[in-house]
Amino acid sequence: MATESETRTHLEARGLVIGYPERTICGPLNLKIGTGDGLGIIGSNGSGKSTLLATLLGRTPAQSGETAFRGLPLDEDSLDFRRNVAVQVSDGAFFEELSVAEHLEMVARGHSVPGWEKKVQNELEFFELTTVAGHLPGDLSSGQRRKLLLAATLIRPAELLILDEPEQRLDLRIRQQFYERLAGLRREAVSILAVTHDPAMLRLCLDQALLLDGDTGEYLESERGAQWLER
Amino acid sequence: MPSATSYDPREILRRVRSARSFSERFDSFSDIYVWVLAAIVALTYLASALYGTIFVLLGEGVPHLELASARWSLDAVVLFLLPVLLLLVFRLMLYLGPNAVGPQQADWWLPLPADRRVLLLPAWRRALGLGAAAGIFLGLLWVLALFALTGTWSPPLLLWAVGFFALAGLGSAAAAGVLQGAGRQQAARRFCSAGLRVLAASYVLLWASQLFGMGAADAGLVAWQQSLLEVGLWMILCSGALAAAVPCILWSSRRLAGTPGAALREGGLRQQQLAGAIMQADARGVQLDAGRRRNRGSGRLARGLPVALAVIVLRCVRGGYWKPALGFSAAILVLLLSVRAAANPLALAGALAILLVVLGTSLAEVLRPTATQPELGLMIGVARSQMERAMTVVAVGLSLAVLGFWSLGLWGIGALAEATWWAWAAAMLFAALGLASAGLAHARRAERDWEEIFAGAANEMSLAAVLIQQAWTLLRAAASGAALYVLILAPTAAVPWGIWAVCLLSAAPSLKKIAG
Repeated sequence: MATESETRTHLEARGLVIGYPERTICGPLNLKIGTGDGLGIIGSNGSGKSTLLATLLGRTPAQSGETAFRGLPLDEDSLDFRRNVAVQVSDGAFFEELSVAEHLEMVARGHSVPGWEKKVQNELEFFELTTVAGHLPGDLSSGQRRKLLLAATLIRPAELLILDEPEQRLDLRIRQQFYERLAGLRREAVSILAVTHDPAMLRLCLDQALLLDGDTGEYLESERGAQWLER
Repeated sequence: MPSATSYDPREILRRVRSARSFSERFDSFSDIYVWVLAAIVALTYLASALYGTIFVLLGEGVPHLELASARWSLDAVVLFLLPVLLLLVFRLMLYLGPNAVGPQQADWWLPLPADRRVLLLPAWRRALGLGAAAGIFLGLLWVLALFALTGTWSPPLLLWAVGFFALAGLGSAAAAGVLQGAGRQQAARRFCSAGLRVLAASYVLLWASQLFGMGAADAGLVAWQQSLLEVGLWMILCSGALAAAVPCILWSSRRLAGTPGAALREGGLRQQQLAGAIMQADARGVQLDAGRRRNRGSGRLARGLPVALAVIVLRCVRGGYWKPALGFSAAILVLLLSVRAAANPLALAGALAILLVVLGTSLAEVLRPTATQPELGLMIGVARSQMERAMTVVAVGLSLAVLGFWSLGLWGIGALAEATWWAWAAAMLFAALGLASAGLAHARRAERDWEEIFAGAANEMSLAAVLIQQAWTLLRAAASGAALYVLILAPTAAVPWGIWAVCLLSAAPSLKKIAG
């Protein structure tokens, strides 16, 4: 875990109101993620969890409020953001002609990961994709495709991970291993912001949950958040 | 501050592609070949259609209505089309991005800390190519129309004029790229729409000035028209377009790396949708802007209607599906009123046929969700037969409204005979019923694989048969107005019983649905 002096705020939102031009979904919200923090975003379907992520990333304009990355207005296209924030790739967007291993190679080399061949191998083994390393995305099951997306998120260096329901379509055993790995990353000062419906994720690798339920958000300890999900 | 890496993710794609077999590489080449071939074929057919339209609007050898308001020659209309086409190319570029990356590239490449310029250069080159191609395509059609109307033909003129359109397209794409980088696309599109309205207003004003005997406008138009046939003017226009395009290209090249990822992603989605629509000859994949979907007060319109009717009426109003047919009717009426000899029976019948096809496709768009997804009806507790009746009623209502507007216009210019008003009314009702069934059939068409369809045609005869089969629903829409055509071509003659029988046949499915 990072010491007090090393702690810095990565992502911050102040008075953020999210929604679409004709409809407000939620807000104002305040949010702060510092070094090694783990924050889950929870709520019912339609409460604005994914919209909040999209707004934080600048993909959906905020109705009002400010978002900042390391003290500067958040810009997903800035080099600093691209180097330090790993955002889970959305479902379904794969290069049809690239194999599983080649997708990972592309990300690792793009981020100048030293010894990328070994890293690719490690990720393939961790996500149990070794036997399909040479397969094209079209030949994979939906669970294997999800594993590839998560492997691509973790293969690169990052100070902040942004995940959108990473537990979807993963079997329980892999889920457990994945959460333990996230907890390990947090011990190495990596911060995590994740939308989740899985109480286990909150308990194992996140400290707090931001519950979107109604107009504004409510912060809960991870155990209370897990209980809310189990209710 | 660390700088961007020099890694180029395209390298891995190149590696994979170079390892492909010959046949896979040929497939990739043949994709480009198919697009170029499709553009040439489309140009040929559109040029033929254009010549047909000009022939009909000139009304040579056909008795036409002598309208006091029809003072203009068709050449003047073509002059107006020049700035309209340039604005449309610019608007298309703004709509398409024009710099765009596919969803895979957006998700996998844009987050890499690599030099964005390297990643986006191919997209930028493609955007400029797209702009030039769109300019050449529309420019060729315009020049052919000019040649057809003036009876002049000059290769240097053609070359300079097409060169001007190509440069204008390039400049439009580059300028749109700059605006995309600055996030000003919406504002620029509003500007284009305002520009089109200004041009329409200028057309009406110049027309009015002619009506009131102000010769200056007429003289100006004639001078402008004559100078368009001189190579010198096109050389000047080309130089102007070049002078405007070069700074735009340089500027857009410099701003390229700063284009926001969201704008690139959106551009990719739009280009993909457009390509799909062209390949499928079907616009079902093209999404309307979210902002256009809601109109204030539309909820009130549907309040009080049975739920099945309300669902379809709201889709029609919020989607603006009534606009193409009404807009087309209004534009044709202005053309008939202002252009000499355009108000002739041949032109009226041709315009009606196009109107019926436009209306048929709009109806198909309105009805598509409820026609193809029966579960929607079940969800709101409406039986299939009730839903079919509601779809037919809305389609007939909308068709009657548009045809009523069209009829008022024709009655206004004296193209309809009062003695046969009852026959016109009956023909209109039959046409509306026929359009409803054609629209419903068009909505239910399955997606088609054109490659397979064309591969199955052994010769030109079988290709024609295939095309007729594919366009059958649209032909049905056009045929539903059989009695209307007769009444336009011979306003005082009695409609033969055979024609009424055709109308009845096309209207029968709708009558059956309404009767339950």
